[in-house]
Amino acid sequence: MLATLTDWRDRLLGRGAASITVPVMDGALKPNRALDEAVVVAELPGLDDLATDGRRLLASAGTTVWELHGGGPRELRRFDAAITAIALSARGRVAVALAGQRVLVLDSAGAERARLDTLGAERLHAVNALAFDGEDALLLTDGSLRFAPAQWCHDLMTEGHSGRVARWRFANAHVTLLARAQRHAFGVLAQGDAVLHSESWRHRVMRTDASGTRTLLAELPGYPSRMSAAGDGGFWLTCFVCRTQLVEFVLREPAYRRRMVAEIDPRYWIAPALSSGQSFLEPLQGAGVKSMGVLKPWAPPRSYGLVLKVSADGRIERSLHSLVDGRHHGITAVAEVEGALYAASKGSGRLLKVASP
Amino acid sequence: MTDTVLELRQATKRYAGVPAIDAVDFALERGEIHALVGENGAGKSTLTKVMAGVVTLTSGEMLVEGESVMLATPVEARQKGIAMVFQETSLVPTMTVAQNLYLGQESFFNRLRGVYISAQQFLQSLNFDVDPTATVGMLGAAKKQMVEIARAVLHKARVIIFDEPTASLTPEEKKYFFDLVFSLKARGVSVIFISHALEEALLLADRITVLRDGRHVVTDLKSRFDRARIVQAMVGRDLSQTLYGQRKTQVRPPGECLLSVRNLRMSAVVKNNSLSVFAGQVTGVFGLVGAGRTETFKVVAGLIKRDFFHGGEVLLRGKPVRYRVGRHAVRDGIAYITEDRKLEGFFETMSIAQNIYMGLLGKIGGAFKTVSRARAKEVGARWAELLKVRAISKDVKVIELSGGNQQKLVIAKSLVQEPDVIIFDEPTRGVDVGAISEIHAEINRLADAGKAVVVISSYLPEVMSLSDRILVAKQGKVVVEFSATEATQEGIMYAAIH
Repeated sequence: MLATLTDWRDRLLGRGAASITVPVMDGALKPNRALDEAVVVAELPGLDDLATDGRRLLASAGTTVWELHGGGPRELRRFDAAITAIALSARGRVAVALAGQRVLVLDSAGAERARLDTLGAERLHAVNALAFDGEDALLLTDGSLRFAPAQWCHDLMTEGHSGRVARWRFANAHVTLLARAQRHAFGVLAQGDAVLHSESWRHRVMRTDASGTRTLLAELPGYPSRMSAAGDGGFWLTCFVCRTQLVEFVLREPAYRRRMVAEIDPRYWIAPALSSGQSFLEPLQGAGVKSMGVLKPWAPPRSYGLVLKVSADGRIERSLHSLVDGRHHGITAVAEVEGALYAASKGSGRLLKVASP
Repeated sequence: MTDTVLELRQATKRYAGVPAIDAVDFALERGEIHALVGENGAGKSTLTKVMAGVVTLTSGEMLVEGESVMLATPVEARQKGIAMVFQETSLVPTMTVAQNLYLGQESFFNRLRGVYISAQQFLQSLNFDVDPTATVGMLGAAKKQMVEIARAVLHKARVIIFDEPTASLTPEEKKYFFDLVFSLKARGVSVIFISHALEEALLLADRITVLRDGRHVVTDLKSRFDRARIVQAMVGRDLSQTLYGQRKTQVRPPGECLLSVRNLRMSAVVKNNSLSVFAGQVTGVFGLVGAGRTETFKVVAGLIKRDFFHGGEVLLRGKPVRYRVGRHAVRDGIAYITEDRKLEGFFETMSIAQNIYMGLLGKIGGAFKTVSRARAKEVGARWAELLKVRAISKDVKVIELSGGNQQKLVIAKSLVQEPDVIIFDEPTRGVDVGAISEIHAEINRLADAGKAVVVISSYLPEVMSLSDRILVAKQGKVVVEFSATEATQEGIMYAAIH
């Protein structure tokens, strides 16, 4: 009863959970143009995920796996369905998620070694991130039981909370569910004995180990997604889209969202996007506003590029940005290879290289 | 523009030996709109107050219509046709517009109806859309400005001085105000206006004068100025470089984010302001007057309230806080060191030790507050020693201390609370050079000790010499952040006024 009254008061006054605020990007999150100024290594339409063993770099785009070779991409293998996640082990094993509904583990010669279609009683539905945990186990996140990986925005706008995180020991076909009822699980990484996993719609990264699950990183200004290990023991975290007050407001208006989802083409929703500016029918970017003839680079974005470097204990150390007037938005994956950082900009379909991350 | 209405020659005004304006030459032509720009403390207000008879010159000469005058009061200035419109209007809010217009000029047998008719005719002649029967307190800022202007014109003002006239106006009201200024010019009235918004100066003025550190830098036609030239003229100082040293080459690494302000709103002063403050760093907050810096941190410290509806969030160590009184913020480890020490900083008739001990009481709280004389003396003496508060005797009243020692006392009064977040608001305003370096050393010591330190300052060299990161506020929100190693005076000033 008291909670209901408090909730009602908060909604009336715009306080507590109903306060429409977003964390500020300052300090280590101070905007820069590191991603805008990054070298474009390749243009791969549909570029989505990256995988590395520290030396090789694989990229998935559509149904194809590419390998970066001699400074350019080389087709490695083509599948019969869209690749929604990819991982590479130290011994050269490759794991791919196809259409979000099945996961294959291939040995270094390319032969299928294991296959996963279900998690417990339910089929895989939107597998969007994979990471090897040693050579015999694979960590995976299944974003939603309701929507496909490409329909992540539907999941956001319908307040989806059916994401799952699991460890699959493919050597003995044993699956352990690490987390469920996640508000869009998207991104997983092994860190010693622990597992890091992103919960996008709650803007946080969790750490699960033998002692339980705790929040490692919270109150992020974007929606966290895939992670990859950094050379210094920390990790790189992508935020594939950013939070804005406008979207936060829309998320607190269920009736409005229901009508928007039912009646409007998803491309024109008031919602975050991987890229923007393709159509005049899109909602105007906050940064579309010009002041004194200058496009405001600090205005809230609809699409944005953001990569965070996080220390092992969960402190954001620095960040790489593509501002609203930049092009390298919708960063869905990063990988550190021989001292350089590669980033997959799904919004622009470009593979980027930041020489000194 | 051929004849000079008002002229100042080698105008100097000193306060306690310190020049607020120093040998300034200034001339205002008939029917001219003349903008006065400069940083806070550049001497703009003092210069205009001299013209309006609010303060008198220490040396130099003032000429009105070529005649040397010495204006001792604003009444004398008005008699010479010079009127000043302050930011805070001088109208009586409970009286009507017409009553305010004719205040002090009422006839012996005063008929209100006659006053209203007369006021209506006069306002119409100015093309001012203001109801003469409206109560002034109910009018918006722009309409109040109109009434002020009308009163000045009614008093046959030939020179009208505006101090930050657009600071509290909405965009629509600003446009209205600009039209009014142009109509005044068309009537042959000369206008001086002080503004921090350079685009307004470039839009309105015929000529622009830039002041810096109380000295005249340049006066030129608007057409010969652009923003870059004005900014360069405003900040290109050298005196301060020797006082505050060079820019930082190294910054302290940020620790935990202790304080986070998100989308804070407070009336028209703080507009959706967001910022973070990290432990182990000095966060400098620069901005011009009216940028909402003080108000933001006063909300943080529980001294004023944010907007009741959708006022935003303040998070201390990641947890939302909303203080009803300042004592609760003190209890949570937030200390706000005021910019106005005389009004808010100390009890002037108490001793140093008693004042410092009062700060400690603020931290202790509880139902039984008692001041043990021995304990007060012990704590007071220790902190006075730590901060090098110098006085003739231990029992001297605070009012008898110098400005620098008073400021150190105010700082000690807060530091005795052992806060984690310390907000210094204009820490060296009105403080002598020796005390400045000691206060700066204390600020650096606090940051080195892992405290989260905020320094709000309107003085660029101070912000640049102290801060590890610099937040620039403009019109109620932080608009840009600089690292101390990348910041330049021009860059910061450009962000503050652009």
